[in-house]
Amino acid sequence: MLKFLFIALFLCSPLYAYQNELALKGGVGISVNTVQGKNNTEDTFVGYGFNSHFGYRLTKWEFNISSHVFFGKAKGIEFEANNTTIVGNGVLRTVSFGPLIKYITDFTPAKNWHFYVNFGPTWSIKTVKIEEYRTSGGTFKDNYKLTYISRGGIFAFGIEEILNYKQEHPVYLEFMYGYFRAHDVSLVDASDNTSVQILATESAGNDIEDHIFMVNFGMTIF
Amino acid sequence: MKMIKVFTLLLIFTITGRAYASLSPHDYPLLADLPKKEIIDLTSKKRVPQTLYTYIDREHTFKESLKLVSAIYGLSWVLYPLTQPKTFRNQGSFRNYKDNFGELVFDRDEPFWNWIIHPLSGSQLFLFYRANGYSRIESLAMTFISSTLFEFTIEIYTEPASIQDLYQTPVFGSIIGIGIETLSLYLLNQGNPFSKFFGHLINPATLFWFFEGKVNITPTWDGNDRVGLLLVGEF
Repeated sequence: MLKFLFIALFLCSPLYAYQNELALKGGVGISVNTVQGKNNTEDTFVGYGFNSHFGYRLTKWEFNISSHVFFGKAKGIEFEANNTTIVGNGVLRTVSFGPLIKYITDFTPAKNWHFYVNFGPTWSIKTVKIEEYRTSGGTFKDNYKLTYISRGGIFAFGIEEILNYKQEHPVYLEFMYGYFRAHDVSLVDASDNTSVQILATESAGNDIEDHIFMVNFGMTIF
Repeated sequence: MKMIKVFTLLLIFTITGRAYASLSPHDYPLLADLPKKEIIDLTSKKRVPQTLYTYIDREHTFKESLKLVSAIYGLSWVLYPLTQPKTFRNQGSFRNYKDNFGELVFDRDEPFWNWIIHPLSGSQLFLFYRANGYSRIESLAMTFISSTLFEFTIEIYTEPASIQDLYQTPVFGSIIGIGIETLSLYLLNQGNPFSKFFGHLINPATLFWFFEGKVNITPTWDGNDRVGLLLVGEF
């Protein structure tokens, strides 16, 4: 135990970095998504995406408005909207926003790299463009798409370079887990891409749930 | 011999000046830190520009910022119906304005609008503030203010404020804005009319009177052994 404390103290170092400043960060990531649809249909697939964070850094705390975007292709999921059941394969696009709080610890696994945790609530919109499908009930056309409005949360941990100036573009690497649960679903006619029409909006019930594991890699842009 | 000295000094000023053009003031290296081959390059066949385009960050008063935000706000009221007449005519009304006031929704627009058109307009706002002497992060903050005002008090004439637009217009717009800024400075400082045309085309804010980073370069020589470079800019 003493040995562990000694090592921990040895590894701890004070933060010397830009502070009390606004900053914009951004990066890319790879995700593993699990989507649960109606009637226990489920698919796990690998996707990709990007993330951006705009916020204010104190010494160790950071308050950001963050966005995560991820894409992927799910197979054999059952969706329901406007009394129509749709089973098929589709391209999923999720865009989430939320106020995230980040705490940068003194623990440094490598020189200048500090361990941090990042968490907060998120609101997201998931767009499902279904490519191959079969339907029962109402009507569903090729140009239609489904959009789900979800609430959820994000928890991430990772390491970030702590450098004196943000002009040195400090880099971060993080592992993120996100959970989203849909509360509204809309059937949208996107045949005219200049002006999409919302045909119906209803409660999504327990229609769709997402679990997302993501590895993000990015830097302070300015 | 004297002429070679003059030529060399002029070249040093020109090349180092061009190197500084794409940097923010915090990034300026000391002259001594620059690689020698970059300073003394007598074989360079590049055209020497008569005007140096750069960005000069400075402090702003609250009144000055308010004036600029108001100018953009006023311009947005004029440009919105002009650029989207069909939407304005078919979907716009003061009844909608009243209903949409304070509403915040996720829009269902196609990625073309949310990820290309809105960020592109955000990038021009960002470059407008950059041209007025704001640093990159300040320009992002000012873009945030301007686009938020647009979303909550202008666009609601036709549709409610959108969460995606509120975030993506300033944030993605600034990221694209940096790319445009860097490319336009490169083009503008090439010194040839073709590059200059495209430099101004992608970054129109550099054409206007408020652009603070335009510096005229005039070489001076007293006829003996003293040379200099007169840099004239308006602030």
